[in-house]
Amino acid sequence: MSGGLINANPTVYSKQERRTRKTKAEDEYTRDLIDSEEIFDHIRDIKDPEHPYSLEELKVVRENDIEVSSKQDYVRVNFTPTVEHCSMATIIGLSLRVKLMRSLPSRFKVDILVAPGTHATEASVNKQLNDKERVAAALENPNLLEMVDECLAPSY
Amino acid sequence: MCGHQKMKDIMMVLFKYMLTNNWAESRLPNSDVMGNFTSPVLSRSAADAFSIIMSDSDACLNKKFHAMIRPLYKQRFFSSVLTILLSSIKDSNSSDVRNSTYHAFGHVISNTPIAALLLETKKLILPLFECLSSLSADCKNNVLLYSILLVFSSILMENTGKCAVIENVHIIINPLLELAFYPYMMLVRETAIQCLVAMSEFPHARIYPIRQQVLKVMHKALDDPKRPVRLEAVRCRWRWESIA
Repeated sequence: MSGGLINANPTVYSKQERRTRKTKAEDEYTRDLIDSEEIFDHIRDIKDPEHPYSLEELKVVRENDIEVSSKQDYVRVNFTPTVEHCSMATIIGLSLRVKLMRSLPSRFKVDILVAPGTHATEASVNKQLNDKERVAAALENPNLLEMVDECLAPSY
Repeated sequence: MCGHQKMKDIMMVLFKYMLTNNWAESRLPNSDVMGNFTSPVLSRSAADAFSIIMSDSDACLNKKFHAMIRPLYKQRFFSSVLTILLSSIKDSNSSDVRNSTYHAFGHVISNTPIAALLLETKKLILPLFECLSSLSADCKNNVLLYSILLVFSSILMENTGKCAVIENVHIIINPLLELAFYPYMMLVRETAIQCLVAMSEFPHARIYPIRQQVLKVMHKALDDPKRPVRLEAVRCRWRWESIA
């Protein structure tokens, strides 16, 4: 790893309001569908690999960029790296994928994509992040796994 | 109420009604009158009477009905009744009577202050889980089941309680995992999973054998119909995966 940070001075935004739990008696038998706010709750506190800020604070992930279809078991997350040449994009994408893999029922298909036009090597990053075998191979690398676990720790 | 002879008599009458199986054959006084009631109903009503004694029931435990409440009455009642309840559970022959005894046991422990319960955790843990398994069969026992589960979670928070639970982890894990799928009340599922999260702190040698079982159950719980349960299941799964 080179000495300098990719983005030494990121812009930090304020956190969004969180959904509070309903205090009145709920109907026991209606199903709460998995919606974009729930997916956002799973990924908002993931730590950026370089800075002690969460992805929500750096606006790398936004609730509007999440698409969920509970009926078709499909989730798509678009994330925006802070700078165009960010080499951490693959690590951030990998952390997102691992978190959602561990937090959603296995019937869901998850697509993690870089937001269009926000990264120089967008196509190649997208290809890596959505290839099951490359993801599995990456997770067998202990250094990478340790980095991902460190990013994910605050989000549980 | 402490040490009062009449209180002891009341307790004995309640136990008689609760534990007698077949009224027609019994030689107790008033059995002709009692023969009109079906014994499971009577047995269950006697068990529910324990909840009236132990909860602060304003309607019944007041001066008008000659009830004089002394300090620490719940603790004293608990210590006097515990041995009889535990032996009745062991000796009961019919399933109706055992059911009612579990009800009475549940009412007593869910209303006793936790300090008194912690002195007897070794004796209580296994009957507590037998009680939970028995109550979970019927959807009408929601509230009692939830109160007993809350008692278990308070026991888990204290050191003395933890030791008793650690020794019996391999026995209690199955009923606890079944409660994670209790279909009639979301709070029961959520509390059961929170207890599992607390149990992930136990000594490695005790919990490693059950790790795979817990992970399998949590994987299914990720698809629970209710959001709070799903979120707890995510947390629980992460904790149990990291103990390897």
